[in-house]
Amino acid sequence: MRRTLLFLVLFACSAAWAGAQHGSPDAAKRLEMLAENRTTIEILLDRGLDLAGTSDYVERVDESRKAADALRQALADAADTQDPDRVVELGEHLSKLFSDGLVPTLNAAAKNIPEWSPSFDRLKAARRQAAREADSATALDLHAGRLAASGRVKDVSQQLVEAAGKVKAAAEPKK
Amino acid sequence: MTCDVSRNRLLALPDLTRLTDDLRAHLAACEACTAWLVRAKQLDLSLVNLPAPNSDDAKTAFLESLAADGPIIRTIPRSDRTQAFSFVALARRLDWRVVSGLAASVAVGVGIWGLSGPGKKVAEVAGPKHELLAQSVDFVTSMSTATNPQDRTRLSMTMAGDLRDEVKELYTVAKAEDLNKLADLYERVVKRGLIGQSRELARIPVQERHALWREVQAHLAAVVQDASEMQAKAPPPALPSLAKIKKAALDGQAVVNNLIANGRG
Repeated sequence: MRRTLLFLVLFACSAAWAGAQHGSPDAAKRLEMLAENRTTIEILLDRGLDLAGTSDYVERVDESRKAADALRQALADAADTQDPDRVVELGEHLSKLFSDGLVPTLNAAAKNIPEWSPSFDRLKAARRQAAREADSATALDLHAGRLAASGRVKDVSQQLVEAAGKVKAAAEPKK
Repeated sequence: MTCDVSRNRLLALPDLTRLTDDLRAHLAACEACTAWLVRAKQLDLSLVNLPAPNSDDAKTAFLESLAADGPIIRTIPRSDRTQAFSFVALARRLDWRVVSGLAASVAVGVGIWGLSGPGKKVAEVAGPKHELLAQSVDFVTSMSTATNPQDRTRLSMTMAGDLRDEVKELYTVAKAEDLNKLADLYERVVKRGLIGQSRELARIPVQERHALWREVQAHLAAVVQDASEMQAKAPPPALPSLAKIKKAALDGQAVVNNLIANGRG
């Protein structure tokens, strides 16, 4: 009986330890990640605060696009260092920001800025820039070296292509 | 060499006529051992010359007994039944926990072998993800679709809370530079997000705006308290950053208190 209880306790402890490995990283790992992501976080928060402070549709497209571009640059760095975990993490964030951030701002701008509006030229420029940056994101080489062996990187790369496609579609002039 | 040693060595020799050098040297100097050797040689010769007894009759009798009629095995050996092998007895004696443990180990081993066999991919394990980065992405993504000051206030409050939580997790171990960056970001989110949007709330219905202002007030009061508690335990390099967070929360509180009291911050 005692042996069975001991076995169960040991099993529970090992399961908890194993779970903790990927659940919540320890302080050292968190510090490392903070140092790594500090600049990107700062840009994201600033862009988020700028979005909160403006109702101008084109400005909102631009802020959202700049936030996505900060993630794209971080993703490019992660691809250069051949870090699959980081590529997956940043790739997922960028896909999310494209689909749930940039696309809605482009759609809102398209809906609210008619062709005769003085803001329309600015919108056209913002759309061109958004489409260019979506292309840059899909042009990142996520299939070289160690990254090629990762199924997760392959999945996130596909996810990114789909999200960039949505941005390009939303950046197309509406008829 | 003593006489005893010399005689023992002589007894061990296969042929007493072929002596070793050291024995020969001892015998040259020892008359007693020389005489002993002569007697030993005589005894050897006597033994060789002894007549052997005639065994023909005994041999014939032995051969006849082997060839005689009748069973070769005359007696059946008795075996102890309790010592005979029996699966039932073995099964009764085994400890079922040991057996089930071994069976489980074999099953796990076979499972791992089956899953990791040739041609099968080893499952990839995702690495840890940075929570604050994910929260920042959520913040900017949600702000892209937030069109009213209520939503923007709530999003700012969530982000400020996430930054406060990160500080609480790391303030004892973080470098002053990292902690200062977090304090700086907290200050920005409070000033430009939380307070900026709280001012915008003046345009929405009274009840709703007062409810939201009180939520903001409660958040800021909690941060002031957290910062004070952290200051009591923090290492000296962390103190300026914690002071900055506390000041940002206190300044914010003053504005929100004014908003609640006068409708203006």
